[in-house]
Amino acid sequence: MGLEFLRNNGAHRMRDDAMRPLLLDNDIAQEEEQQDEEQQIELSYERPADQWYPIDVSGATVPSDWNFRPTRFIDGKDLGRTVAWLQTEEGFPIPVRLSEIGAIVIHNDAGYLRRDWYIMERVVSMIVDPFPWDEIESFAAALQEEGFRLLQCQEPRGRLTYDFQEMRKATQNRSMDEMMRLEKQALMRSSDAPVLVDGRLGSRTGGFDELNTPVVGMIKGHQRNYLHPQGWRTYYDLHLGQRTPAFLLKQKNIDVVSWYLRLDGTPNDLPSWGIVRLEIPVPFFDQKLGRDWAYINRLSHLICQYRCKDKSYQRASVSLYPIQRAEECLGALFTGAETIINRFYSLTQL
Amino acid sequence: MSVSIPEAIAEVYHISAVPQPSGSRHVVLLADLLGGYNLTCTEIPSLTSEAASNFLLRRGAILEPLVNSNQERLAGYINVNSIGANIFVERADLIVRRRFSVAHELGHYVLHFLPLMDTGAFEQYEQFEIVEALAPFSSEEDADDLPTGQIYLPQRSALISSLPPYEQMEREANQFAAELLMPESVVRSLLDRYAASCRGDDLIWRLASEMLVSRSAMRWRLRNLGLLAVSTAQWN
Repeated sequence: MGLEFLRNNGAHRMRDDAMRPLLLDNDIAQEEEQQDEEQQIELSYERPADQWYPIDVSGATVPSDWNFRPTRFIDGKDLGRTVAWLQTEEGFPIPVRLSEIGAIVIHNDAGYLRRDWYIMERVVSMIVDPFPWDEIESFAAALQEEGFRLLQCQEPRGRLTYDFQEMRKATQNRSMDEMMRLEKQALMRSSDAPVLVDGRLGSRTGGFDELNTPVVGMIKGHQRNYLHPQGWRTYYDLHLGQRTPAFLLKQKNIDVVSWYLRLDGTPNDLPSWGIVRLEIPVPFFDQKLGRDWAYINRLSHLICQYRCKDKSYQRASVSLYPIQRAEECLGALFTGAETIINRFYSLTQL
Repeated sequence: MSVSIPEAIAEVYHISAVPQPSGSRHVVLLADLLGGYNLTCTEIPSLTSEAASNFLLRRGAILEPLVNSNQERLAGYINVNSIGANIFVERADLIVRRRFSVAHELGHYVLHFLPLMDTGAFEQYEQFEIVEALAPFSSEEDADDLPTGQIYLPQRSALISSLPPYEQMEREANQFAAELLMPESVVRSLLDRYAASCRGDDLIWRLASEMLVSRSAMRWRLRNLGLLAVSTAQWN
């Protein structure tokens, strides 16, 4: 059967379409709450609540030969979309996502940013278990021969659902998850060099040595409430080059020291404009550095210096220019979504 | 009567005329390999030997219900008689597990049942049955144990003495399935490619994804090849 699997199972092409709200999202909300409960937050790690106020790092002095200056920057990309959908015998909708995923390491070599290493591949993500094993085997093998890897998605929350958007989200999460695995490979390639990764450390554990690697994760979006009321007052009081006191996040995969830092913003901007959250591994900070708060100040100061000043770049306020460069480099290596999609349609005769 | 596993696998490829995995394709075409022996494979939800028996009765493949059939849940099942052989797998299992179950049953067929039939133990047109029922997999995806089964030779129990001990046959069927679905040359080639940038579970995950097998099966195979230490080396 091979590449005809989709056509033979009545798959339809799908146009590019934004994600829609989930049809039945009550359970999902509950699940997210449960995930929140898995995290423990210790806000008094650096200072007790009544002593929380912005800490200015703009004056932190960083020796030119400081060993912990981030010189490698890692970013990943998942460029693709749901290109088709088919149904199981029971009528459950199965989205098929096609994407190019990749990760890159950019090295700051005495002020010159150059590409150190990269990886990219083409993947097809879908829930496969409702289909006959021999058809999926043949499909996976035929895709492999054409340079695509089939990613088997888990059913959302362990069961199929008639909610197409929920199935679609599960499929998208699978390719994102695979992209993060590529980022971990990039981290491995960076060895023990000081490195900054675009995103949370928790999803990249295993890619670095928690005790010895000076790794920092930078998170642009703020989806969870970690702070107490005084923490939020401090957060909104931050000016450019200021940070909140650090707090401890105990998570399932890794314990991190975290803090907020303002990279950009003027009084007329949104209150949270230009604020990023940073994470470093607890073992490195506690055991290797003996809780040296100067490290956090120096690191924050350097990150402010690395901030993206290209205002034409959409996410400039929360980006660093090496990360912007990494995104551009990786984007240039990709073939382009529509080209790949057309080839996929041709191969699968959809 | 005993056939070595590499010899048996080479024979499977020879009979089916299916190309071995190479180059960019790492997924073994197991369904095509079954075709070489004219084996049928059916996926049944809530698989039991009774459900398999009922299926064969409905199809007219057997005239009497299978002896010793019962309602115990199974991952895989093979029934061999004078007319042919039929493999069944649990429909609700993950694709990767279904493939392992099929390969396990194929292993019994080529390693144990075909050689038994070739000994001339059965008269031409003699009615006989050989059955193997594979127990369900562990519910944990990362469980390291591979499932084992139970062989029945209902009508000719005297023939049991000409077969290897049960435990040995189960070990051999699992070894056959692992070697068939994860050929050493492919595993080593993928390990060479990814070991520099993947470690531990990530490396096992990657290899399993490339070969359409479960992580537990891949971990078992790496251990079996003495490569688990390479793959699970962590930061120290």
